[in-house]
Amino acid sequence: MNTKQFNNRILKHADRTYRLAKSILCDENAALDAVQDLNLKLWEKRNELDKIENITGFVLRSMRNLCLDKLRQKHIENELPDDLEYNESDPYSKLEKKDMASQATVLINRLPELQRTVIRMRDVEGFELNEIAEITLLTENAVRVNLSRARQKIREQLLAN
Amino acid sequence: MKKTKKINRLLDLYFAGETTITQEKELKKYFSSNDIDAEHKVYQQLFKTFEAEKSEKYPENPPEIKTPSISRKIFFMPVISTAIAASILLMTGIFQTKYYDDYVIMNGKRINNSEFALQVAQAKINKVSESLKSGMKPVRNINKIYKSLQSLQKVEYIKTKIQHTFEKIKH
Repeated sequence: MNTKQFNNRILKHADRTYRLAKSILCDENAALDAVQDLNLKLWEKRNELDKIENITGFVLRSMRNLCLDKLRQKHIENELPDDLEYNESDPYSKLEKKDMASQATVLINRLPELQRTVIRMRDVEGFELNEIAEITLLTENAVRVNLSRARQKIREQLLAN
Repeated sequence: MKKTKKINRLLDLYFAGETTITQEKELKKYFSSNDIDAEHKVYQQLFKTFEAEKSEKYPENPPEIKTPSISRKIFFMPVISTAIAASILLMTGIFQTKYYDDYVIMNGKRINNSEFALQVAQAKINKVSESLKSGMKPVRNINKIYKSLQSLQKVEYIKTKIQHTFEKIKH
């Protein structure tokens, strides 16, 4: 894969990979770093990328794996607090964004990583279940189950408030 | 009434994870309109949130690889605060980049596309620059930083900028 192909096929996913990283890591700065790390890793492996058929799926799967590795390194996977909020670098913008953050965003961020990844893959990115299955390495049925659980939890909490 | 029933049915399917993309688009369209039934208002924020998140962009300059010479890129390094930030990073060893004629070593890795490496470096440098602006990391040793920028001062444009900025800091 040459420079032009790398720009057109890999780097064009920056918005999506950023949103995915931010959803998994719940930290804007960590998400920015993750995007840069991923791009560097893929650039180093650019000669192998031509063989990949579904490059979008591959890039997003790589991003998720990279983020999960980062979480594992910090030993915080499955230990995310229920009231986890995004970590803003600027305290003023943090306050401002906290006020503006919708209740729905908070509810989504409280879901387990897999469920919030699946619901955002579907409802924000608009992927089909089989595409999400490829990204998350789950079966299509497992994706449907996680999607359903995620939406049900959100519904219950929306109705309870 | 008929419409409300239809939306109720779609919502039940949606929350059971059984809607198609087309049906979900129909729900999104409904919730982005001004004609929402009172009983559905509770879900409006959820669908609006999805739309808002979809429009969220990668906040830095879109990454792109180009292949001009390194010296040309150095010329385009924007403001001196960036250079100061870079020097702090270099001194603290947080981020080490060396420039050669045809490749760059970044964090110990050789990257042949120097432009791409610089783009990555720029993003990290900008973060430190922001910290400096907010006063979170005060510049304690101006002379040390000035010295560390000597190699950059080979470029006349940057040299002028550095001197000008350091004069400002000192006064």
